[in-house]
Amino acid sequence: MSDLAAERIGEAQPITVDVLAGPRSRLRKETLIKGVFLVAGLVSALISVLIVLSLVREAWVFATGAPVSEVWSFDTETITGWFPRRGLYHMWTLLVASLIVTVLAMLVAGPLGLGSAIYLSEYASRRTRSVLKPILEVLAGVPSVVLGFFALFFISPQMIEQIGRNGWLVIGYFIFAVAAIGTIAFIRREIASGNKIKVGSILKGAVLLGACLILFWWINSVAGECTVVDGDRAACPSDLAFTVKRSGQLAAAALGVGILTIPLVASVAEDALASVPRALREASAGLGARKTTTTRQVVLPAAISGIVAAFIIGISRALGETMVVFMAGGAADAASFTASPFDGSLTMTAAMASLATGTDNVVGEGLTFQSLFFVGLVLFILTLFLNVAAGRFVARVRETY
Amino acid sequence: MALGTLGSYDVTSHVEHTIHRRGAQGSTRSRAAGVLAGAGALLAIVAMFVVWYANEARTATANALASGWMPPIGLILIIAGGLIMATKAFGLVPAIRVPAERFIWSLFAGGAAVLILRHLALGDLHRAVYLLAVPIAAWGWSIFRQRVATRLELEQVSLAFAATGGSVLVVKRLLDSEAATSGWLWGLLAAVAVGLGAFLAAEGLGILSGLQMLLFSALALSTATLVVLIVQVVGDGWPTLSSRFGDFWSGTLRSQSDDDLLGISQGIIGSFWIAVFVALLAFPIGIASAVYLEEYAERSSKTLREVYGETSRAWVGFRPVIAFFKWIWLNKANTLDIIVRNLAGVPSVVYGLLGLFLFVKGNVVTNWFVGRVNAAWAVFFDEDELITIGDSTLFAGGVTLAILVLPIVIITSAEAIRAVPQALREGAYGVGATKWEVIKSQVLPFAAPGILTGTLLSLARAIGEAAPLILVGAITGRLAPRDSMFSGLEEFFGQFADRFTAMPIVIVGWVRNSGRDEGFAPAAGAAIVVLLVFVILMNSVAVLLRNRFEKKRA
Repeated sequence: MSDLAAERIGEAQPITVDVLAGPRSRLRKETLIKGVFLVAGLVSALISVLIVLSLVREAWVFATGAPVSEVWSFDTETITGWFPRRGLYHMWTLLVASLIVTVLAMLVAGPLGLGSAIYLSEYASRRTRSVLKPILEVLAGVPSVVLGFFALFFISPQMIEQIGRNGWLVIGYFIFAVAAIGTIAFIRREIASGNKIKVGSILKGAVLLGACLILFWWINSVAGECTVVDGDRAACPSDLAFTVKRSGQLAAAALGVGILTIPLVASVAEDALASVPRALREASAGLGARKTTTTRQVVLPAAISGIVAAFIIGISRALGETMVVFMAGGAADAASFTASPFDGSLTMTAAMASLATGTDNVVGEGLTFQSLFFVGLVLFILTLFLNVAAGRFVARVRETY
Repeated sequence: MALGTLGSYDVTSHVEHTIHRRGAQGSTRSRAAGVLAGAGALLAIVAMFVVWYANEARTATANALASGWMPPIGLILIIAGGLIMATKAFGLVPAIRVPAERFIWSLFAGGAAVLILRHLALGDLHRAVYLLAVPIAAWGWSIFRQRVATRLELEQVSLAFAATGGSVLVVKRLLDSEAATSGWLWGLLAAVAVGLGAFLAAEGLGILSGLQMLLFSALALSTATLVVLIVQVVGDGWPTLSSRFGDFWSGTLRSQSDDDLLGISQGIIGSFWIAVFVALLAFPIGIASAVYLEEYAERSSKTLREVYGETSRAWVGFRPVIAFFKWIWLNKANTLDIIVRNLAGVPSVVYGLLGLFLFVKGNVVTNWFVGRVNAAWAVFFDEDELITIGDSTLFAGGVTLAILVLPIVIITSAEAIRAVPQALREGAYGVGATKWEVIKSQVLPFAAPGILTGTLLSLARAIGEAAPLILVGAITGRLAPRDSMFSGLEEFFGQFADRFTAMPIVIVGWVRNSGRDEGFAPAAGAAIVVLLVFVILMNSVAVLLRNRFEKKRA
């Protein structure tokens, strides 16, 4: 038995690199497979090139063909708006509308998204997290068409029209709520402190109470003076913007976009917070800091680049969001220049969508078709810039920890 | 002295302050305050619904009823709260504790009772019961389940009473017809008022960090949005779905909303084929790209300057360009990573423009490519063209969306592959496997759940996406129904070269139509319900899958 084994070893070829590498066909197969994967990997590079190519080609025709002074006009006398079918292309109309929508959307998505992220990463018990996080993720998957419907049929009539109609009343009530609660808390603390109550604090309390009463009176008097015509309410002193467009407004679309952006901001910010080492938190707690202090003064500063990245990504998403603005933005296929969120207008994305819907396909006189690509190119450059910036910030977080 | 002060910061007083704030029974108290805040939020939501419904069916009698019994309730609550607070302050009542569970549920039941009574008076009870009681109960239960064991201090109960009463009064004020105010806004305001009250009360009592409550309300508001959205959409679409579901399912795009044949069948078919295109094109290419990115692509530590130094001087003038491309080639992993990440951030309309440029308007490259495909097609079938350029076709829409989700597939798959432990690969290499065999037998099976999650998410995204399809030219108006697509091969393939629509496009079209014909709005709502069912189902399955495997691996 042992002889046989020895014989076999003796007969075997000497072990060389070639033997270890196996048959040639196996190597050839490996190279082939690697090539296939390389081709697949290059597809995305090809797509990038094609996007730039397709945008630049037509956009160039527009940029050289359309009068620059008209497209980028600042002159308030001659500004008309975006009327592609009449050959009037005023880019600032679109850019200002995009700016309004983006800013308002981030006012919603920024605090809510960041707040959700901090709560989920710092405070939430495992149980709360397991319930609320999936809900947030489902919200992230809701199609933008649904948000557009929601914005047009719910946010616009139920919220924006109310704000436009009773804006001052809302602000007044808000201030009243803050003042009243502050007063109650002050009085409560004075009583609870157990010290002898001083004249000064009684005076302070009285002044606060008086201020609250005056505020309440003011609010009620403001609300009460509506003029009524034929049983319908015509105009009130509390109106912020009385002529609210019925078919949607920029503000309604912006709220919709904001809701759509919340989960994105939350998830990027949460990633950033999660990457802050536990040791930092423990060190802070070891020094006797409260959880709040730890969060505010240790965790947030440590994760600040990631949070900035979350905001930038949110802005980029809000800028590129199309359907919500298209459905609830309150303008069909043309828009005159406006800077009011209570008016309807077209953002860059909505302008593109409406150009393409009118007749199920883009047709138009002169430069209409090219204007589509020009707007697309501007949007592309803006979002690319924002995304690259966000990438830088994310990379910084990763480098630090 | 040295220990007491750090710089100008008085550490001792800070620590004392902290101890004072936390108190001896910090944990119980903070939990109690959490319950209080939760109760406030719950109440605010109830109030929101009260305002909404009261406003929706505002009649004279309803108003009279509202003005009849709401202020007394509010006043009684405030007085009760004040009385308890006062007696506590003067030491008349010893520290009494109330079971939180009973307290919360009585508040909750009170709110529900108010609603139900109100709707009984208005004569439409079903809305209150269906839409309010159930979700609120479920939500409240899930939040408070872990906290019900607490007992509340009497003073917190009194504060809660006062806050409730105050909010009822505010609601009443807002219901006033003279003020001509209505809607959710006021409910929201009441919510803010109650929330702020609870917040300041807790801060003042030093039980709970205000920040935490602020953060929680942000999270609660975000998640509540989803609930409100679904309730609203289902409420809008339900009449259509319940009364004529069969017709709606099999109907087609029409120009009048009262048409009996109005329905979503074309949208469903379009979306189905788009999903097939995505699955056939984006999934294989995306997963292969991810494998290339993670397993094959090289990473080099050389800087551009070093590469430039190595580049031959023979490339006069072009040396920097050549060096740059060489550097990119040496760094394929990083370059591809950057490209894919930037592609993922490109707005979806821009992909629509790409589709428009490539497939609809036609150009040299695509014309040539399509010409070859059609020539191959003509070998088997005479006359018929498989793909037509210059028209918006289902083919164009499907390929555009496949391109759109490709980066998402790549990123999620690459993440899943990155999570495969290195030891698995090394083990396989150790027994003599080649790279491909390692990938095939170890990496891909291990990463499969992650990849599946990514593909499901991207499929959901593709189904819900409308902007690129609009640019490519999906039909929003009227679309003639096709004959059966299974009557023959040519009919089957012919539909890809034909005009098309998809679920989100149907919705957009109907929403736009609702401006001239209001009947389209509920139809759009019904279509959204159908779309949401598919999309949320896919998303939930993906999320569940991921969580499950994460737990298993951990």
